[in-house]
Amino acid sequence: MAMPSPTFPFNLPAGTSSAPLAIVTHPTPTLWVIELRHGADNRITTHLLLDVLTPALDAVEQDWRATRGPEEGARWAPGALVIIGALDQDKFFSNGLDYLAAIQSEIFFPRIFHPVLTRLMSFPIPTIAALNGHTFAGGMLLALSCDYRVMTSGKAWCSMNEIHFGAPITACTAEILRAKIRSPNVLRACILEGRRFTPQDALANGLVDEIVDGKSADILHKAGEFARRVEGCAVTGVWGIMKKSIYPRVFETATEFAHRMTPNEQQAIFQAKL
Amino acid sequence: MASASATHHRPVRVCFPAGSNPPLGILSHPSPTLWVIELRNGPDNRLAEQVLLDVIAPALDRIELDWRNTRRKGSDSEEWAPAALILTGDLRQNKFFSNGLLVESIAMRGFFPQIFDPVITRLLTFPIPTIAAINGHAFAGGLVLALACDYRIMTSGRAWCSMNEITFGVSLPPVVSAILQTKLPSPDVLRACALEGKRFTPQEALACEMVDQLAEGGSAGVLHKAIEYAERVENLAAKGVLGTLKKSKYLSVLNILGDDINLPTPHEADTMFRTKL
Repeated sequence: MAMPSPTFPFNLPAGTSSAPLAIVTHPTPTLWVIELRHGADNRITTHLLLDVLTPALDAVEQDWRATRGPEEGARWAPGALVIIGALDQDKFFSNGLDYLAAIQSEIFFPRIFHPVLTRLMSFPIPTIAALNGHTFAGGMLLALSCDYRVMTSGKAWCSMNEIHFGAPITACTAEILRAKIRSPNVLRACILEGRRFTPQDALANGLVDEIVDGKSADILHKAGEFARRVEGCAVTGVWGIMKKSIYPRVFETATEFAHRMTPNEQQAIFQAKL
Repeated sequence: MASASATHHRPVRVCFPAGSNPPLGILSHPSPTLWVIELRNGPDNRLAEQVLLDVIAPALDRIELDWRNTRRKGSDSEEWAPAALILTGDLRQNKFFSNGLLVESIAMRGFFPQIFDPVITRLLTFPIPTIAAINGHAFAGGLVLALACDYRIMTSGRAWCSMNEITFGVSLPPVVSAILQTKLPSPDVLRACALEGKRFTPQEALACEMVDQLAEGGSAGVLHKAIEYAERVENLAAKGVLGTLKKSKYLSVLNILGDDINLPTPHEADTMFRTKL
């Protein structure tokens, strides 16, 4: 039972007119953009995860799934999703979790944060994190959960700084890091040393795929170019399923059952949920 | 460590399946330490059920039995002869190493757990060094076969390596996925290969370390380079522990099979093999 198609652009949380926490746009037939705007440093809170990111991803997925042709064995349209920090600033992509609040709740990691990360890790169309500023801790996990990363060449770092404020990382987030980070030595520098990678360091170590001169708009533009290069990979409907196959430990540790479903089944399950 | 004198070596040439004409594969033993399996299943060398069960599996049995028979008492431990296995496509052509599995096989219930996975994991953990001589395109199951070997020598000519399942909209069976995860050199190569279905040229495959070396001169050139490589690594077989070490290294793949995994000493591995015969 399908909901009416989302109309873009729209604000989140739903119904917000001024100061939305996210703006979701669909600037071309094959590109969706989620711009996160949660305060000065884009903290990833329960509210952002449940009431902003989750419905944003739902809307994008629903819109893309609706592109499937009606005939037997039909394909989907090309598509890609860019996630970026607030476009009217250049300081932060995301400063990570509100950690103290997060650890008040037993369920935060397994039921609120991991599900969004694993949703991105298995999202059915290519995802590009456009790192238009500092990318720390939970923000870096969000970035690594995307398939690709483009980063500003300017004054911004990415790091997993949990070691510096005394926080452990979960098994699931460790698997995300292990799945996406190139080598044991980079992993060591990242997790154990909490190294701050400059954009140039990040590029050299494979943490990001490209660095971009300019402001947030330029980062977004480059992310859009990247998207055009990979959007065609979505058409056979197996992109997300393939990711579940090659990153199995991420899903096993999030307690999500990594069922090896077909594109048809996944489409049907999603539509049944609406 | 003494090796069998070349003058006493009788080159072996066995066609598989037994009695077939033309053969789907030829096993040869051109020198005391070198084995070559040449697969010859049609113009694009598909890994049909028959190739897996009636060529590769019995050829591996023959090689392993012969090699295990070289066991002798060394100065401080038991020793086996140096040995290496080269796996190659049809040497009479330069187009394909292997175009992978047949569509009918993939659709067959139980094909992967019962037929493909056991053969590929046997190759993955084979007790002597294995070298894939990639003498042409290596697509999908063909690339997996090459990755299951310890080393890869590829033609520098017109040939690609790719996993093309993404273009067909099918996901990867568990053992195939595990082999890609463990054998592809980095997350970005895994992404390009499995997710983007990238076709790697020989030069790209070398640059990202998917293959170890390139060779000019078509199939003959690739085989020649592979033989040189084999001579460098054949001694790894001598202490009889290579297979067990591979099992440890590739535990993530073996765990999918659901069998009990044992990590035998060289002597135990030898005994176990003989018991199975």
